[in-house]
Amino acid sequence: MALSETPIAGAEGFAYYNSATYSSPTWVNIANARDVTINLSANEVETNARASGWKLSRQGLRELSFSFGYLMKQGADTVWDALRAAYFAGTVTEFLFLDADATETGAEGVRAHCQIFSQTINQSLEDAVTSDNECRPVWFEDSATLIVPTWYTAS
Amino acid sequence: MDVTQRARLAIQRGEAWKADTMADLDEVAHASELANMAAIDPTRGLVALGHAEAVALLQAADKDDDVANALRVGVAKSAGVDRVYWQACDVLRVAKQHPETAADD
Repeated sequence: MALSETPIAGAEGFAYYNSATYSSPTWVNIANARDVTINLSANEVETNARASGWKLSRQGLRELSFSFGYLMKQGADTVWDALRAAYFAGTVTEFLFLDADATETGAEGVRAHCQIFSQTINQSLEDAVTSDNECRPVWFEDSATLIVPTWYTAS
Repeated sequence: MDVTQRARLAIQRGEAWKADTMADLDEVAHASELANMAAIDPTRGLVALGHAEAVALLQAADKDDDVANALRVGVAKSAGVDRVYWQACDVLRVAKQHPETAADD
């Protein structure tokens, strides 16, 4: 199915993690994700000189981080088990955040190998129990090739 | 429609979408976007499989097939979810129908 080119709500986005390998992934939908934020930024390198008369900059190293909430539940939850285990074991996990279902041609978003650097579990008196997860890309090689974060388009 | 038909359809849709999208781009004004589009491999389009469907496919796969073994690990680690997403080329490979589409062969 092709995308309908209309604005969407955040609730219509999709988040996945890869439970297999980079070249032959098995993507699993993080269906209970909420409030996903994808932070893309870059350091600023100053390239000022007398010749310009202006403050001039250039993009330095790019930076990416993801944060997302997760609605927890009691009992068995395969996705939460994977996220929790990834935090405690420091497992490198590949994530994919798309603006539509992964099977939709033209769905796009960021794909990156990350570790979970923060996993805050919220148990407020009158709110659902959730976890807040913060992920950042890490060094990851596949067949001796460094795999860096990419902008992914589902075809 | 069985899963291999869905995989072939996903590849066809991806190829059509890629061709249409590239045809709409200008060689000069959209040069970088064209390069990104050209790198997209429609055989890597994703197909949704029920978890049980994925397990059944893997049971019939060759035991020494690296792709099937990678997927086996992924499916085992995601036991309990309703469905998983595989690349169309991987679906066809596991179903032993891959020669024309397996990008890594």
